[in-house]
Amino acid sequence: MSAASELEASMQRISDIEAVKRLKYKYWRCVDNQRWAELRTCYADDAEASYMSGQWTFSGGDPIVDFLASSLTEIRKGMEERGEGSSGHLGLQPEVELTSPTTARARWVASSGEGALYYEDEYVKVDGDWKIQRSDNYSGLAARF
Amino acid sequence: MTNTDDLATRIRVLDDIEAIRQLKHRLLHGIDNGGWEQVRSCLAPDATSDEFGDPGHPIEGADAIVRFLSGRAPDLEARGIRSFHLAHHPEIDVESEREARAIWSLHYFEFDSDAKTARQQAAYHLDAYVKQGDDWKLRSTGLVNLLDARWDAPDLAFVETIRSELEENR
Repeated sequence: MSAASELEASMQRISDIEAVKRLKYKYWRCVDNQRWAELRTCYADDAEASYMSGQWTFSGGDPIVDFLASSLTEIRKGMEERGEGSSGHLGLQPEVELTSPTTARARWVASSGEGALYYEDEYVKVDGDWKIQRSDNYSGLAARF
Repeated sequence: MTNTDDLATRIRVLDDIEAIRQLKHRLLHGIDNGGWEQVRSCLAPDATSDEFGDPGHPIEGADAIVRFLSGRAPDLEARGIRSFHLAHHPEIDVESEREARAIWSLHYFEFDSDAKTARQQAAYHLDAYVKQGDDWKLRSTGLVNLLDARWDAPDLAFVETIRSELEENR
């Protein structure tokens, strides 16, 4: 392998890790701002997702976004009725690992309101854009204060 | 065959993204710790900020922004208020060699030791940046507010600041 092609491979890895992180930031922005059409662009068409240790599972980008839109709209309505304002995810500590030129996985932790959420994600590069292929989350600490 | 021009462009974009992240962090550390020269160095001379004052009526010019912030700090301190900014989730677009934009998620915390209250605001910052010479500068910040919450914090107490230590170690 020539020095230039090694350099290019290394550059590609850094660019891909950047793009994967940015995808997840976009995901949280869309969730917190109820931007459902834009949220759909975060997912591969055949994505799979589970929430809260498998309490809810979905196959396909459309069913996943339909679930998030309806459940989060309901949660927000309840919060507004209680005068609690809106949610805001704070995603931290990405461990992004490229598993091939077009696949990656990552672990994240997010704080949201009074709890911690852990994510284990898989990503796929489709026509140059990274998408969420699979996302499983489970809850850590949940505390009221 | 590797195209070295293409590679150079991609390295530059990654460099620029990192420089813009550092710029935002430096700016917010400056605001939170009273480093007004540092704040000034992060701003383009014609920078505008929607973050403070009336929405839709941005503060115009780097000097005016620094004047506003440095004028507000002693007032907060006199009222026993401490505050800090947390910026995260940057979505940075480098649009040309000299222009970039970003969306940041911002959490602002304010703790009032006299009133024993806490306040949290969450917002998105819609930033534009310009590269002047070798350095990226903030050109404008727009604001989309998400929430503004206040609650009683009867046990609120401050740990003495480590500002001097931070400055010594810089």
